[in-house]
Amino acid sequence: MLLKVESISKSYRRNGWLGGERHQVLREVSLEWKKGESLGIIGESGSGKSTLGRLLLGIEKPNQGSITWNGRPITDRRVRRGTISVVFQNYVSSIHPFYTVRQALLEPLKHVGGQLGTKDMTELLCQVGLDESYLNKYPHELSGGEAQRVCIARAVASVPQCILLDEAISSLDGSVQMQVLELLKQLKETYEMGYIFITHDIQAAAYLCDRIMFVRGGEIVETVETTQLRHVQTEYAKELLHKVLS
Amino acid sequence: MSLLEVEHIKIWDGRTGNVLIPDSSFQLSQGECLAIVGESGSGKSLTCKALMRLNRPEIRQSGRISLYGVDLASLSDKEMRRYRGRRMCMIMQNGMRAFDPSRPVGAFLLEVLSIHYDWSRSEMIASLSTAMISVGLKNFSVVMERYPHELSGGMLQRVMIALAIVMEPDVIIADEPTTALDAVTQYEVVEQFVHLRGRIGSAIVFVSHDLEVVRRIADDVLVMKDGVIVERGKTSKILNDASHSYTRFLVSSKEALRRYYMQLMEGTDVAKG
Repeated sequence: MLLKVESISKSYRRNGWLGGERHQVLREVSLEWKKGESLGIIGESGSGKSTLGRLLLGIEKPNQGSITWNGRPITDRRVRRGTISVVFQNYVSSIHPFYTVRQALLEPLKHVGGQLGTKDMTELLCQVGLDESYLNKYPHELSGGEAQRVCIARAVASVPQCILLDEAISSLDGSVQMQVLELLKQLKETYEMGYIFITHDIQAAAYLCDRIMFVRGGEIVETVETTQLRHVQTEYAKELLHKVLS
Repeated sequence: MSLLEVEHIKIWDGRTGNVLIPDSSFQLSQGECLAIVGESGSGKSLTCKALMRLNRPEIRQSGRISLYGVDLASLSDKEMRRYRGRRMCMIMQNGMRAFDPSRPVGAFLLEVLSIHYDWSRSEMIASLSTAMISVGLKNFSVVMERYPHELSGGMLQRVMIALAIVMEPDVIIADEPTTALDAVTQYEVVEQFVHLRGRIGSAIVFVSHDLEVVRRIADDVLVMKDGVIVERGKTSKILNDASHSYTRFLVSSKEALRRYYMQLMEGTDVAKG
């Protein structure tokens, strides 16, 4: 197991860090992720999916439990550098507003080491459905979907082992969504890239993922292989799946 | 007479002279629901903001947008502000940025209501709480005390919809209202929109890229590509038998996902990969 999460819990203080009462976001969550696997995490809004994502990235620490990558703690920057990258839900705040798309794409490589010429960048942008004219644009000149595609290109640029996609394709429209899903599938085969795909879109998760995990109220309700999706046991998972079909 | 008439609007960037929307016209009659679909960057949000006069100052627009025959461009900023919210209500794509970050959601909502209505505090709270419960926000008092950053995107979206329910505007402009929501809430919110139409007869401009949602809610569909309206027609016609090749492409790419999912659920063998 490359990524191992052992019974983590996370709570936040309700009224800022001086507030008394704590709000439990995650309770005793454990999961494992193999190299090259794509794991879908599905849940309602407010179920703690995004918090789980931030903990997996090591940008926040759990109150209890541990998260290890290859046996080393994920909170260590050297461990995550170049191995795990991320595409966030909020595309507006994920690109530095003073950077052009070119600079944004090069930013992660500064830390990982590696080169990317204009030709490679153009190719990368083409794969996400943009063209080279975007290289010199600033984030505010991009529409929501375009900015999100730049974020995806940036995450792919350093060829990490795992990309965490936190609602990454929900703001894209149908045709581009499909294009990005195809791109992710293709990358998975060429580079053995794996994904942790946090989403509420069950259809997209079913398309991309090998395994799907249902989260509710900060707990994992059920984990199921995608091929066995029709045999889910819990009521909650059934309800979610049913809503999509109707 | 049409409720909302948009005639030959042209939108361009005042600094660079780039034309973003060359010429678009459409009408909306009372109680109608018009969906605008198109890929990102095709000018859907821009059109919505133009209707509300909310585009940034450097984005210029010309043409005529009239609500009940009143040209919106002729209104002063102050009059326009009275229109926004009461007559035309916009539900934004990004819930985080639509609320005042420095105050609890409740204080913000009450302020909006007190500007448009002379209700007492208890009346306002009563109507807000019914609206919030109807969009699936069960613990009303908790939501009211929270600051926007403490609520998830989906919850904020629902708060906005609840506010629209209370305001009962003539036109609701919903810019990707269900994008940030999960399947269950999305389903509930779309139901809310359907109810909203039945109850107060609001016309809805519904921007979405989710064709399933569009199929559920819209009477008419407008397809945009690169700022140009390529097709307009009845929902069933556009989604089943589109005449423009771009529309067919939009429909087919979403169908692929759906078909894969259906296969998975029905248990026929699916080739993995």
